[in-house]
Amino acid sequence: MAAIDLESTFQALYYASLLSILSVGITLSYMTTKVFNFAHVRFAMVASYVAATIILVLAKSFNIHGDFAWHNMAGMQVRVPLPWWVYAVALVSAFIVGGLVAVAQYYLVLRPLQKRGAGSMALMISTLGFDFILVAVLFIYMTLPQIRRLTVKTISLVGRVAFDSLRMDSLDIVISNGSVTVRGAVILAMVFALATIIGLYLLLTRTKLGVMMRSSIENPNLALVLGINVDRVFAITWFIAGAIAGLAGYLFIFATVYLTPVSPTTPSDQIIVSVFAGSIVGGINSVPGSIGGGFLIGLIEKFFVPLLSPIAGPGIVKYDKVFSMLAVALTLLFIPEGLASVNWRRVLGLGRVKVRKAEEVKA
Amino acid sequence: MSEPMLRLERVNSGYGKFHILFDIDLVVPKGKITVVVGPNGAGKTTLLNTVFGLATIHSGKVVYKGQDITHVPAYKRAKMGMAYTLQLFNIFSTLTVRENLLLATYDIPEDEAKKRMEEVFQLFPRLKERLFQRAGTLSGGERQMLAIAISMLRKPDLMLLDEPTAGLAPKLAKEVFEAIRHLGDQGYTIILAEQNAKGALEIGDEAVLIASGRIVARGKAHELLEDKDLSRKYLGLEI
Repeated sequence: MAAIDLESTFQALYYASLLSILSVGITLSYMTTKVFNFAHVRFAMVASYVAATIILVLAKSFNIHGDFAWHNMAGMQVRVPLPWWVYAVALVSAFIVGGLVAVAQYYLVLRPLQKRGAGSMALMISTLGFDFILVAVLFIYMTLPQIRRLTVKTISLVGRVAFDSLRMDSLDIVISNGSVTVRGAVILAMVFALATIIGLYLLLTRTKLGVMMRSSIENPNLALVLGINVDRVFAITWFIAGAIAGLAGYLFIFATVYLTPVSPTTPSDQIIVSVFAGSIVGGINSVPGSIGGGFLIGLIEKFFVPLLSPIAGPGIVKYDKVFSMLAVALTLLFIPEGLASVNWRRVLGLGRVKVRKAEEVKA
Repeated sequence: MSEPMLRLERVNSGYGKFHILFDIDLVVPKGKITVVVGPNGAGKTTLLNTVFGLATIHSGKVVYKGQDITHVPAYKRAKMGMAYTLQLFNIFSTLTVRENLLLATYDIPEDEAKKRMEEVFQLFPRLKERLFQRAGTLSGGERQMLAIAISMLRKPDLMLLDEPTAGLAPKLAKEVFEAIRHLGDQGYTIILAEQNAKGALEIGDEAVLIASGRIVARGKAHELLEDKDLSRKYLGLEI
């Protein structure tokens, strides 16, 4: 019998949603600068540290004691440890910080190098360098209590608040109907993925900024000629990409017991490869493609691979990334522009013709 | 005499450290077609890039509608009423003709945009027939018409056209030239850089001849065309 249950399904959907959110950010930044941004997922980590710090500081500053009791809401049992506004402030902060870090990379690293005529390899390596800088900053924050206390003291609203580690798992919202328990982060991940799809669709097709983004990405020189400040449009695109990563960073908070900058269990290091895979499989030049690609890779790793464990043994799940890399290899071999480049109507149309022929033969 | 639309005063320009244009003095009168001709590599495109702000100005001044715009960025010059039809990559290939035209009017109120589109379709009826066709699949002539239409929709005070007939069959090139002359008759101020010197000079009002980055001759377009020595020496024309 397949080694998958409802809770595992929710986890798979959580993971797939996370990947789709992060993959679309990689694609947005690639479409503007034609560079794979190795620091992209680190934006999410920075945002998660900021959000986690804010949650803890707000909770302690306002002397909020976690409410771990179950409450009845719309027929479900819900546990909301902190006031809603604490989560909201943390979420908005993660969104903004993710965007600001991305813009900082664009203006401080990529744009100066591009103006000096740096090639794509140099730009790609520079993103790796920026990634190292962000990791170092997070390490300093987490390992030097003096820095942490100074930061907390600065943003704390009532005097000095000290904490030595960021432990967040118990602060997540939990929903239960008695037989199935779902964590808030899982629901939020799917909500964020949907919101990202709808939000980007509306932005790109219904707003003037979206038109400017599409024209600047398609043909920067022509966009310039039409009076569009292409540089500013690209910076805004980077902000959006980083802010969307910030949403993922907020979700990271409740995914691990402790937030640590770099370790084998650090969320961003575990998934960077899968995020790139999602972008490539979906289509590196396609926003909807990368969302779909990220979701598909997530499902492959956390839903379909576990289904193989009755055949291949439970250890197969450790090799989930091998399957995503296989998906990347097959995509690059057969549809290098990604799944978004496939004419699905034609593919489906061909299928219909074959069915009709079979029916004719039967008649 | 009215203020010219554009003046270049002893302009030296190029790309980065590379110096392409030397001591360019140019006056572009309002409502006229000024033709820029010259052999390959003479600096025609660089001249247009200099006017639009896509080249580096090492010294000199660019005065547009009485304002010094030497250091004004390109996108702002577009907002000041300049439109530039690039020689290459001058349309959004993956979009339809309709989407290209809509993009060109992204910052214009809908009513006004519709009115301008009708004017474009009167001049280029073929574009209306191909409205939902992907721009990248248009023929060479249709692409050039679309590129010029994009500029027209901006209702520019100054239109820069960089070799709009490049690579076109003679019949299509003639159509494009006729459309440009029509725009000139409507009062558009145009700078037309062209390899097809004869065709351009036949429809132009004023002309300058550039060679090796310098203006070597200037005057009325028909005068330059009728100057046999110049035509033979620089343009390869036997009049």
